[in-house]
Amino acid sequence: MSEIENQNEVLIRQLPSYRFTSGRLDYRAFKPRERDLFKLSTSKESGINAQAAFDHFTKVMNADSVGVAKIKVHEVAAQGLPSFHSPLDPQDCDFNTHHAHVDYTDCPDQAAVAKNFLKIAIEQDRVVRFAETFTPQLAVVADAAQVDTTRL
Amino acid sequence: MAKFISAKFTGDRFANKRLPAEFLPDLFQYTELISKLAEHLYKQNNNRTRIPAEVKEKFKLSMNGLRPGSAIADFIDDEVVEAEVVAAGNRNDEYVLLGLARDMVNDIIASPDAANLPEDFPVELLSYFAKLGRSIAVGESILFDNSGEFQEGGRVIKFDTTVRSRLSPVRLPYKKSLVFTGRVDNISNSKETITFEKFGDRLFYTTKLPKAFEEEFRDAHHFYKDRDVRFFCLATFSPDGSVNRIDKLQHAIIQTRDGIKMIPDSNSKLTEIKELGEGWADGDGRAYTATEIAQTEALLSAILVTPNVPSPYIYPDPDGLISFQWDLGHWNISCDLLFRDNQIKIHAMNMDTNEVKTESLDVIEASAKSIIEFLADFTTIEVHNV
Repeated sequence: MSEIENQNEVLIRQLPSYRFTSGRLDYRAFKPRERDLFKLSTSKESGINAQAAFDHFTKVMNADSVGVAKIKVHEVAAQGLPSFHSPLDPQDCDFNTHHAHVDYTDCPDQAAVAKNFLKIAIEQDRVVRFAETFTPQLAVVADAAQVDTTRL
Repeated sequence: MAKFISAKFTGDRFANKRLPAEFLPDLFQYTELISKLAEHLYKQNNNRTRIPAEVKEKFKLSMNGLRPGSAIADFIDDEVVEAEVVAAGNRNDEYVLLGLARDMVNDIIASPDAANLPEDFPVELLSYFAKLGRSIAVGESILFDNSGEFQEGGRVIKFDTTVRSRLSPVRLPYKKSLVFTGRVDNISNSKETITFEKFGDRLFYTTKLPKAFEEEFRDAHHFYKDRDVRFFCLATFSPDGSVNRIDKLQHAIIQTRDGIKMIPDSNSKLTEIKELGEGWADGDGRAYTATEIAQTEALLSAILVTPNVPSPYIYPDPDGLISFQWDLGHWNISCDLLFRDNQIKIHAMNMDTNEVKTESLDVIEASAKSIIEFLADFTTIEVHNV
């Protein structure tokens, strides 16, 4: 595990279907869980693009996602948080090889940071919705056309 | 009649102890701003959209005339003219509101960061600052003093050309929360836009149709054409305080024949959440207990019976909590119901300035009143006249 030095690296965060209500995105999509020791799981875009990461997440891992949000490492750093390249099992697949995380451990207001990332993702048009719904085993993958984030 | 505030003009042009008529508009704008702000506070405190004529009369201020030259002590030096403003009321409620309004206006004038207005200052009154002090030249000033004494150590508010330029940022277009009543005029499915009429100024606005509104209006907007709809949105205002455009619709409350309908539809979302079984969210989520659902429903009902409080967007969470969320103007407000700890965490962040307000409530069942009070800062205070 090593801290990501490239400040322009883009981190891809999967967005589960339950994080959307009537098209509005929940700020908690950017808040790590206690179970994950306050580390927010992402992928490095320099290693795997958004579509490939989404496909792997939904089809291979059969995990719930309807799209991704993109945050840059310097934007994470601006919140006072470090980003780490943290491959899960590099032998397994590309997706795992390019796994990264944002460490919220020392963050005094995780909700504020999460809302900042939400703001960046929406204002910078960096929410990519690949599917309307998620169906286990049979992910409905639509065209990779980006949704109109001004309507989120 | 009660003495309310005194204004002192200083500078060469007042050397003969006279106040040139051209300065009267400045005094008028100042007193009119205070009166209008007091009216706003009255409507806000009494949850009213209009003011009875007899009450409005009590918010009027009038100038009691210039202090006569015989009261020479009143004139600190030969370059000073003083005017005294009186209020019609005395120590009644309206007088207290006038006093609050006067102090708020003076605070804005005295603030080193005048563009950073108090959150509850009504945007439609900003234009008064643009009109205030137009007659003042460099080297001249208007001093305001509640006591009329203008003594050292007292609170004397100075308005001069420096203050005027400091206030200039508020004359730029700006975005802020707007709450108003209107009606849906048209929905364009092809353009994904909604057009509505804003009652009061009878103007029409067109803006993007958010998903939550599309779900409700797409096939049924004709049904809503003659219904009053309370819209909550983020709007861009012109420097004179008029609405330039609606940037984003956020919530709505619709009056129907059968009662009230809200956007988003939080009841149907709660039904979805009730149906979540063990293992939702990739095996991590657990089903909510009947008690948790009952607590959520009771809390939601208690919040939504309050006028002007819109329904929240509701989210389940694999960690077992339920989150109520509102977008009110620039504010993203979340209310996370932590059932395990029988606690509610409220977190509001201004997405423009990053200002954060938080509150922690200890018992979920007893939290409705506190949540409503918290939300009131972002709803009723910014409600515009209809």
